[in-house]
Amino acid sequence: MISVEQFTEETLALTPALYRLSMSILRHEADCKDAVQQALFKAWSTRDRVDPARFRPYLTRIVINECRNIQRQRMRVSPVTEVISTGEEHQPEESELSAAIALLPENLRTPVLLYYMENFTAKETARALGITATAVKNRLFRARRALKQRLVDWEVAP
Amino acid sequence: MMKKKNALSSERLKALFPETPPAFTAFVAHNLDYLKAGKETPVMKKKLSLGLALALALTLLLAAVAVAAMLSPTAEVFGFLYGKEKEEALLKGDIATVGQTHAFDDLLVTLEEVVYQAEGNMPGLYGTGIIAPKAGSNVVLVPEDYSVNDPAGYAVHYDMEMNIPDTALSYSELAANHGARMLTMWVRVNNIVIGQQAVEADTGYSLIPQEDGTVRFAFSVSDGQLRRAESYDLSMSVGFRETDAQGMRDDLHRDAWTVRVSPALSATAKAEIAAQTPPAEPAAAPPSAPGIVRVLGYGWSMDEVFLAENPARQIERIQVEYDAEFEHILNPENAWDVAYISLTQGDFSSLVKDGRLLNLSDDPVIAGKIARIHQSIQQAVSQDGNAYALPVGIFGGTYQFGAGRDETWAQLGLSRYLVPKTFAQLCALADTYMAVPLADRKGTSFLNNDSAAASRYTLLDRLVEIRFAEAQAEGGPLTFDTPAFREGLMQIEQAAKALSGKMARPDSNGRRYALINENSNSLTEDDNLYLRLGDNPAYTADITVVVVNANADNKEAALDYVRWLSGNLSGQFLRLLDREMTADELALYTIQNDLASRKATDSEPGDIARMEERLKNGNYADYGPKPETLARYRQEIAPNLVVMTRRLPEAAYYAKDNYLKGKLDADGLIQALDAAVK
Repeated sequence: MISVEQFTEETLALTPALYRLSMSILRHEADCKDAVQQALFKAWSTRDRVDPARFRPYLTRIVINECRNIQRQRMRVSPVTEVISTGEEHQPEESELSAAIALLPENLRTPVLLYYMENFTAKETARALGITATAVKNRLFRARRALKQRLVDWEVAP
Repeated sequence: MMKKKNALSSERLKALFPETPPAFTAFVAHNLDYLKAGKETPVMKKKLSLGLALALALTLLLAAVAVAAMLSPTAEVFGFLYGKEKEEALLKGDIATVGQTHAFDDLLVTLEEVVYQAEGNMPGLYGTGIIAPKAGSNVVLVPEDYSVNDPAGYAVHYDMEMNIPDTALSYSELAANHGARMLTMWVRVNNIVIGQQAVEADTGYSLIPQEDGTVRFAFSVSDGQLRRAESYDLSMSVGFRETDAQGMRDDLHRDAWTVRVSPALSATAKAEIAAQTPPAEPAAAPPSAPGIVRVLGYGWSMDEVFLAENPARQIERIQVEYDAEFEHILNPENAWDVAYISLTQGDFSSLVKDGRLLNLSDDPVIAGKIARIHQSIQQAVSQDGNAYALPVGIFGGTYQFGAGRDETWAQLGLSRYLVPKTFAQLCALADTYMAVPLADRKGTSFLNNDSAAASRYTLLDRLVEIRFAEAQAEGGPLTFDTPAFREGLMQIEQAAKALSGKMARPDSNGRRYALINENSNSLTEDDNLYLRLGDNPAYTADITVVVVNANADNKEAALDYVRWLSGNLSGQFLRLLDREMTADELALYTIQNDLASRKATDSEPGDIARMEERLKNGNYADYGPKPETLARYRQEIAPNLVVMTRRLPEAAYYAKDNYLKGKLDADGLIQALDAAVK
């Protein structure tokens, strides 16, 4: 069970990560708000069953599920090239990285973002995605292989 | 050769995304504030579970022969949870070594230490201790959150890689081997008194099973009015329920006692305590000014957009306890202008009859929008041809079951053709599941719990819920005394009997995946099972509506808000509410609506530009529903939609509980449920 203060503190600390993650799936801030709001309600209603040590992946998983629900409900399939973009002018190599990440299918992109960008452990990533840690490692391997093929000017180190 | 930059650096990846807008963070904080406003509801107990770190800390404590004398076990334990900073903050705290033991029945509870942390994050009281069986007793202690089928002494909830041996005994096996009583138990700190004053604060607790059969408890008390003091009176309680081999828990036995703890205080701590002044009373809310709309309930995400488009208006949010919106508007003394409520929260029609709600049909703009909504939903908000609420949200009337992961079904060798379509098929599936060899079931469970008693509880809960919804859909007298309900009860007993066989062990990480999951109450969830008892084709729905106070101080401002809202409903719900718009029109509406929302919330200009480009080029069909999905919803679900007007009263809970404990038979349960809903 997680206390109210921990719930609050951990949620606020996780907010930037949830924003990036939901944007990577929904690409739309209003949708992200819907997803995060729904997720907070669900997580809150079950907080008496949540272990604080697992709260980060727990809330992340609910947000991902809500993002997918919203995607399904709105039948929205955003063009992949629009999935990730700051809207700012990138250096050519940053644009290359942005496009390469964006071109990853969602089942590879989200593990990469959780593991490499948000520094989730393999276990946390697995828990957030509802898959096994072995599956996470496999997906990260496949993602790195795909990125290596697309990224000429970058090192893709595990 | 120049070293290439690593593509997978966290900072580099983060730079690909926009900065988190302050408005987004504020939105999350706002939601948290709202949720916290309802935190005192009795169903929400508070507990802190320390998790993996605590278990590791305890392991290290046992192996700490080479380690220097422990300065504070509490600091050590919580340091693992929150990091070095937390440990240091607690070590600088006011430490009270306690060592007080309280005996109750066959239990001995020893509070070892309490620390007041004054500096750093989450200041408050922290402590830890041990629960042990009394000497000469013959009991097996099961921590409250654990199942009788969990391997005894293993902290399986923390997802540690423990390599639990297949020979490890479960709590129920251990109890059977020793002919011992099995006690599912907990220890908590309920409240704190400083001086003569009870302190309001959040308390949390955790229970960690130990290999020696004892259970470690740890707690934190923080926030609220808790302050540094010379001593604290901790009101503690211990409780247990005798539990049978199927996990059925008997009545609660509970005891409470008070422990005074007086930490060692530094000169700084003493000076701080001496300088304390009593906390100020919260200031009264200012009276509402013209132009302000006082809004109660959901819908915060719309506020920013409304204010951006209506700069002359202001929104004042009214905070009430969770789910207490209807209760708030029921009291004529309470001030409000606009409220978001569920039609199941209370008697909507009596509010209308009493003249408490504004007739929205008098407003041509709102009336025009309501006229486009599906007839079944319109009827629910209308009386004598006049509408008194604007529907804004729609969910299914009951929570649903859904089939578990494909991998789980495959592991069990079960065909997806067995996914149940009726409640009877669901119960029969328990037999099929248990017929799978035990070794193949490892790491799985039938439902999201792993004891026959818990499954019986869940199935009964759902049976009652389904019958309650179907009865409202039938429109006749609300009774549980139907052949289908009685058969459902028998089917549950058969399923519980099947599930009372040997349950599968968790996987090596202490995890079990369910064959049948508990899903949400969404009407559009792809894998919801929509199980039924009877033949009534109705789909039940829980509708959220917006109403206007007939006595609002700022009636015009309130109507302005609802007028605006009627043209800005969420695309997610509009497709379920509106009966006329085509999929293309819904797509256009949604992209325009979302675009306005983005502009109001200062979204990324590049994204806005791209959306505008798509709008200009007509490339936005994916913002709407698929035409065939929309057609199916309108043909199958919308015409059969029955809006629920009631929720199960609390008395139904006690009826179910008494049935599960064997205090009521099927007839008794049905009578009690019928009496509860009368």
